[in-house]
Amino acid sequence: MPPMPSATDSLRRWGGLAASVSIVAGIWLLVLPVIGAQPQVRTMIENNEQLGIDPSAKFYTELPGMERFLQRIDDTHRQHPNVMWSRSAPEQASIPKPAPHVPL
Amino acid sequence: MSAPPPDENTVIEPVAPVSSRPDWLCTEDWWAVWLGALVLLVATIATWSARPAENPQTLEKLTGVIKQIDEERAKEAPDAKHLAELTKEREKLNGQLAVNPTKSWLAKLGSWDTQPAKAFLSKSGQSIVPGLIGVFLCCAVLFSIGIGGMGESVPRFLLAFLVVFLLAVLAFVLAGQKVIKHYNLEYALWAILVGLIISNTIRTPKWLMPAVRTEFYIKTGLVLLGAEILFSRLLSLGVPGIFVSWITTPVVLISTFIFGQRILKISSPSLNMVISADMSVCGVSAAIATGAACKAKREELSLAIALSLGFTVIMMVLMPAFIRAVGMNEVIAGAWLGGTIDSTGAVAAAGGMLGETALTVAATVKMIQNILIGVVAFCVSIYWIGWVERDASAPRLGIVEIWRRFPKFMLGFLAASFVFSVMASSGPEGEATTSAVLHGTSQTLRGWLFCLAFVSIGLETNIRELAPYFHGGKALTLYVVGQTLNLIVSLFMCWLMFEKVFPHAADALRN
Repeated sequence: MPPMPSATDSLRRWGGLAASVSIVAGIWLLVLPVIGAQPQVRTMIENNEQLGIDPSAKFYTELPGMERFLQRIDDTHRQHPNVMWSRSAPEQASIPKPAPHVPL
Repeated sequence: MSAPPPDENTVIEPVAPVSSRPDWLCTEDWWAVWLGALVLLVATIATWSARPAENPQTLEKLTGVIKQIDEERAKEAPDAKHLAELTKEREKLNGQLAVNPTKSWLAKLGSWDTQPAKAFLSKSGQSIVPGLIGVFLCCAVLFSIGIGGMGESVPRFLLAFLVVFLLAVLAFVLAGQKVIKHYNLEYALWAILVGLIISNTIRTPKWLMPAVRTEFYIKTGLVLLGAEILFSRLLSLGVPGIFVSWITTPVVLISTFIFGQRILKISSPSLNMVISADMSVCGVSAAIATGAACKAKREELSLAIALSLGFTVIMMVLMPAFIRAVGMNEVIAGAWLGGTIDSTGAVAAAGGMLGETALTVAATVKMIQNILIGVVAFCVSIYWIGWVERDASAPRLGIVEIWRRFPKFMLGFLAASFVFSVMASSGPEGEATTSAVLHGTSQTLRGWLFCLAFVSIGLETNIRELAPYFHGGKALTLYVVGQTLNLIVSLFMCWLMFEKVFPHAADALRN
């Protein structure tokens, strides 16, 4: 059976926990909000939110805009059915046409 | 008298099970399959039963809208505003085809900038606490069934699970801070940190251990992840997509693993494999899947994830800057980002910095790479059984022995992928049902299960145990060399495919 921790040992452990929690709280509640308020960072965050991007997504299904991206790809396949399967030039000579981008 | 040594072709006889209970009732692997299947089955039945009666009319409208989109895009000068309206209409109709009634039972924490309390509100400002209670109850019931089924104490598990779950909530709150979130510092890191703080200060209390079930949570989460691996999406970018994602990635993975074994002589093949896979495939999710397939230690998984997230932040910022500086073609740039940056979210964020085309191509290439996880995890598990774990002097493994050693949760993972791939390919209704099940139930629960797993890893880890893994910097060298190779090979393949072999595909994607 492991020896019972002494009062000093116990105090040291709880002190360690309190110090760690304080550091985490300080970073998350004070430092990060200041960084987030920087114009460059704020612009990046707003841009991601507008485009339906969740940068913390682990898998494609977690990306809010994925369905739209796939639909855009599907549109391309319907418009130019063989373009991603064959090396020959597509029948429609209109590919280089500058089409407008649909906002994502 | 000893038995004669078996010859080279002798097949090992299976070892008789010690327990009288069948394997499929007393191992975590099998329970992960049953629990994952139960979640997917309930969500699918609920979604299918709740499908709207007016679906035939909705489908008709959807076909009409798609036709209008095609006509508009085929015009010499398409009307961008009209196209945007039609696209929105299509999204709305797609959403009406299937409704998942279980979606409201479960919730994920939101993001916040200065007030952590905002993490508990939905985008519409409503409290998500009922959804969190739903997640807790769902996980508690599911794992109580599994724990009870394996003959362990359910009350002790439930008491401990409440605390582990609250720690997972805390990890999600930390991960939801917007700066953290938008620099791709995912919850896995903070879940491990939360656990580490406890285990390395006051030490993880013994009564908490019944709910510290890293492997059980990961394996069940992986069965749910299997449903998200839709092979019908594999051909989204045709031949170029296959070459960029499915040829380059395995080449880089295998080369990096061989480099780690032969040149760096990394003592742990599982550490080598987890780092090689997370670097070449798709970051944390690939690390989790291959880590489970090759039975990597929790410290190895933690190290691989930390390396991957650290380099992801750097690449997410530097790669778009480099691409802009050299004026790279947006399609090639998108494909390069998708093929190299580890994390899916970071790929999208980097693509978004370059433009809509780069974003669409990057996210799609990454999605095709995501699908590779299933194949990689399966191949790694077979390679581990047949080569790494096998004693070189032992006789050849027979089918029965391979089956005995095979990680059974992988069957659930592969079966979920197969069933949902078939369902998604069965037409618009099947696709909508699949999407509703994945977005409403499986993805949310899978996220919670992985978070619980990472909290458990932290609670079981002594920081001192991590020190040997940093010794000699081999892990870091492996990652840097592998990623450098990945950057070079991927760039060459993207250029070859979209510039030389299929230039018309790049032109079409730019439109």
